[in-house]
Amino acid sequence: MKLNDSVELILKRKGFQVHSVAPEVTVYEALQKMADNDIGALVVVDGTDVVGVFSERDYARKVVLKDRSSRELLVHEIMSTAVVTVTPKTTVDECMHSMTAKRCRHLPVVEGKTLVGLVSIGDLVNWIMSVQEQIGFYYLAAASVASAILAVTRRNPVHSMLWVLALFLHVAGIFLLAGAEFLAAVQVIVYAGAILVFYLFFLMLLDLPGEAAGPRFGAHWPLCAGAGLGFAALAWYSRNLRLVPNAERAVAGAPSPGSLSAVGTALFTQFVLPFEIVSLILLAAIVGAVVVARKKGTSCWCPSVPAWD
Amino acid sequence: MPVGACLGLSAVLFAIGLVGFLGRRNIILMLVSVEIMLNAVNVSLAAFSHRLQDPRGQILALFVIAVAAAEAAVGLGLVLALSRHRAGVNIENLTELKW
Repeated sequence: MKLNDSVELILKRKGFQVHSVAPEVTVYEALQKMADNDIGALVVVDGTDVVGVFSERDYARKVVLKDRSSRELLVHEIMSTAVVTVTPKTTVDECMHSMTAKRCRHLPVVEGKTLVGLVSIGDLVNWIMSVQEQIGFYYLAAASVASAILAVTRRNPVHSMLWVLALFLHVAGIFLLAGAEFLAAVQVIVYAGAILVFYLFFLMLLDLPGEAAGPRFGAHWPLCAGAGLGFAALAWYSRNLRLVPNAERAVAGAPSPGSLSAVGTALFTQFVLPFEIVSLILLAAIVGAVVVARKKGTSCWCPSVPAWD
Repeated sequence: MPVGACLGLSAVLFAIGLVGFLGRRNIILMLVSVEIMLNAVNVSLAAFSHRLQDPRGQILALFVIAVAAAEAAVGLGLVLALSRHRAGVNIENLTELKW
């Protein structure tokens, strides 16, 4: 996905369907068709040849401003006949320059004289955004893997912990790219800010010497590679499943599923029981940690006071 | 946000965490490798949540983080109690439960 990708790749992802009208249709019907399909322009075709493009801009400037009736006028009287077209081999960059220079927002894709598709400014914006997102994702993925490898192989335990911190922060970045903003915030605050600090505290409290690389390290790599390949195989299998977004959530006006309000709503309505159970788990962990870690012979309630027994 | 690449990343991170868990001799760093594995799972959950437009993946990831915090607390409490033991925290010496 680069800027010099061809229009063909965009059409492959978006589809080759083009909404078109005949030249003898009334402007009103053309507008109705555009509204039904939620688009801004129609290609005017005579048989299979492109004869013009009819857009919302044509309607605004040539019908409304000139105070003419859309029900009487035909499309071929209003359409733009100087059509700017591109071929399937044109690059995204060239399309963007074309749209800027020729001041149009829709480019019919033609092969010779036959129409094969349409590229709109919205399609190009979508493509650019995914390019940027991909660059961000590949950096975060590479940095996460590098941090994890370094964390697992460092001899000095504090260095290990610091690489784990780098891993946590990059994973938070990946959560942001996945549209999980609340999860990213929790990852930074709880994982990087609380759990890691807790581990570091214990590391320094126990003051363990750096471990020499033992003969056991790396001895289990076939098992680990097998586990990783197993998950990768599951991921590959799920790719062919053609998972469809959960349609019942795409209700008009509902908040986007990644947003804080959607997560909060689900958490406090559908998942309120697991939520309360998790708080009980945390309470049990707090009490358990104090009980387990107290010195023998000190009271449970006040570890600095010697026990009565 | 390429879901397939995200799941591959999750698999790789899990494998790295597993290598760390099985290969380390310092018990605290073994626990940290478990955290790496849990992060890998969270990445996978977030990727699916994004693909399926379903908040439940993120909610499950939140629960994973909360339970990981609880596990860290209890685990490190145990490590502290263990450190007072004569054997120390080098797992090579902690062999009483090994069959």
